[in-house]
Amino acid sequence: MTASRSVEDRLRQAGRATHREANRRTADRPPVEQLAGLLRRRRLVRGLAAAAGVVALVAGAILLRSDPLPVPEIVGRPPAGPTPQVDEEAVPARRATSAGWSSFPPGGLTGGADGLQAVGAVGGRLVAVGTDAASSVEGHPRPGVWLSTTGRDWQAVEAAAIDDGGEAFRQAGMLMHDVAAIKINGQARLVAVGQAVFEPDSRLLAWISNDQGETWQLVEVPAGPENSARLQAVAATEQGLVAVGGVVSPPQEAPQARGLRPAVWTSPDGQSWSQPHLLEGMPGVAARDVATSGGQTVAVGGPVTSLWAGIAWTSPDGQSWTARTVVEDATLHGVAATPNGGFLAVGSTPTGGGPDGPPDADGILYTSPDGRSWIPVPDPDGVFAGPGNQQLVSVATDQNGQQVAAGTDAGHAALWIAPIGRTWKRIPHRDAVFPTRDGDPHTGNPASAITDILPTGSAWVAVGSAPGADTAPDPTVWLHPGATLTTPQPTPSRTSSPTPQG
Amino acid sequence: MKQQAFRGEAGSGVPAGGFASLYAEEYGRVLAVAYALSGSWVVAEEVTQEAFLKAFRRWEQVAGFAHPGAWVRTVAANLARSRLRRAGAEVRALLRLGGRTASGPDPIPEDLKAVWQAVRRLPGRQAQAVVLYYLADLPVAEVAAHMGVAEGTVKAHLHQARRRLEQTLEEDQP
Repeated sequence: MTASRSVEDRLRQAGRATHREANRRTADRPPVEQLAGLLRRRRLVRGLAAAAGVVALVAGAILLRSDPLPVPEIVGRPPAGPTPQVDEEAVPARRATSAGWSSFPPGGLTGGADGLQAVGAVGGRLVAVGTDAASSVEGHPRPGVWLSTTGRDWQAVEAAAIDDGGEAFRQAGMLMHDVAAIKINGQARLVAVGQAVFEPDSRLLAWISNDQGETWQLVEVPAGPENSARLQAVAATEQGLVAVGGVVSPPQEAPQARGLRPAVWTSPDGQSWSQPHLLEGMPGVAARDVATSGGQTVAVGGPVTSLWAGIAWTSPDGQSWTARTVVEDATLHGVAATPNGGFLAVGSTPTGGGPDGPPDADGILYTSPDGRSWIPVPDPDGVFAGPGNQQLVSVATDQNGQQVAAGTDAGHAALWIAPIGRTWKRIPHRDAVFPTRDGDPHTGNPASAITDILPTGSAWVAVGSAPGADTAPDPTVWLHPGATLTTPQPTPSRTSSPTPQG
Repeated sequence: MKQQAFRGEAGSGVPAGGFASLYAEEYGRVLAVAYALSGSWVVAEEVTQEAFLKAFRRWEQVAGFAHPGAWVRTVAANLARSRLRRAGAEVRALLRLGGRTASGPDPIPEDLKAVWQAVRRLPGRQAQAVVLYYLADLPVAEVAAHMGVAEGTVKAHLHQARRRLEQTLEEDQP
């Protein structure tokens, strides 16, 4: 009884201190007019979206605004290092006899992860990364890596082999968001990016594996003066690795400039990383994905709270970046290179929201020949639309021009598919493969979601999460055996020496 | 006073019925709840903004609730819990990274931060019940209503949580 009283006293004492600090911070809250502005904008967007749909049907693709924003400020430069080569050896997954998609809920994956964030391939092996709840420290997440040579059977990498050197961050928890493969002096190297979370701050992390994911070395990535940032995605380019995310601007900046700012980090090898390069963009904007094609590297993103502005940043060398607003009434989540040197970007646009449910949005898809001009893909059949949230978060295309977009539809995992130049179709719902269950009515979080997709030779692999036995999200892999796809031609590795200038 | 002028003002976009007042009066309470369940002021600020944005979107409905502020606090608790538990699994695009202010140093004393750390180690429903009851100052009946469970379940959550916290906080003491 006494002990219980003591706990209650401490809870109330902590509560008073927390309320005091929260009230102090109330003075810094955004003005309510900002919320009003968002609402007005959304109503306008609904009207414009309806009009744009009619126009798109009549006129086909419309080139939207691509006015260049001011050239971004570039801070620092990447350190010198060995010349990397892009490893584009994707691993063909084993052909299966059945056509169509199948899913592999937890039985195929051991480790008890909350979900998978990204999938890559190197040296005959698929590598999925995410969060491993089973080995979490006192409830705080720990990074997880799973390996497979078939796409069907997966093996979890021991936690101790992933966060070697990360003792300082275990208490805070660590998240692994993305993974890429690169060749360093002819040797394949996997580089994953993520961060330590929440306490004491958001330190940025990268993991390196030289043995196809069996063991990893943890290195810290500079997070900027506030030491608070997020690393969202990484890609291998001719110049090395480019990672994107956002950094919190220093408090000495003017109030209207404070907040998260989009940023890019570069590394020749995954071991040493540049300071964050700030990209042009209003406060509250982050870059979410990055891809490279035809000598151009393109990052995409947008505001992360207000949602509405899709921005693409383009760079020929990873050093100088030009920002363009692709679409003003939507946001962009993912970008992928196409075989012809262009890009595909996916995102979502607000369409309102029912009073009883989470906000409503439709998926959007844009194509670009060069990363600079972007064209919306018409959706005359409304395959990216419908009741509830349609979020396209990842897209990929194989060497034959088969395109697949992935994300969520009304709270559950969904995929869309189209050969280049053809009409997009939604993969039909099949409960066993794409489980349908309502998402969280308060948060709008989907019950299942696909977070990344990868063409692997003649097959496709998608990763994400789906409800497990106790309704908590479990890691899930979706696999297309490739019965209707053919093996892509491998792209030759670059051998030039692209040492950054400066 | 400026916010009063915005309440329901034609053309302002702020809905009538006191949203601006709710925002001004409840922001600190919602922020406190989000902090306790996330352990980060940066995350708490973005969660708080998101929770109010959700209230804004459906204000006609929320305004009709007996306690709109309690609804926003519960949404923030859900978001904060979700942010922590599902951070790794969250759809990349749904990660709300910003629209926030720089957080600065955390002045909460370490021994009191340890209390929230211990709360975050509790099973999710227990942690949510503790924060909504002790920090958000919701009565058991309202905690139950917002969590969608019976009052007895909330009491059981609180009882089990206190037992676990006793052990955890005792073990953590030097």
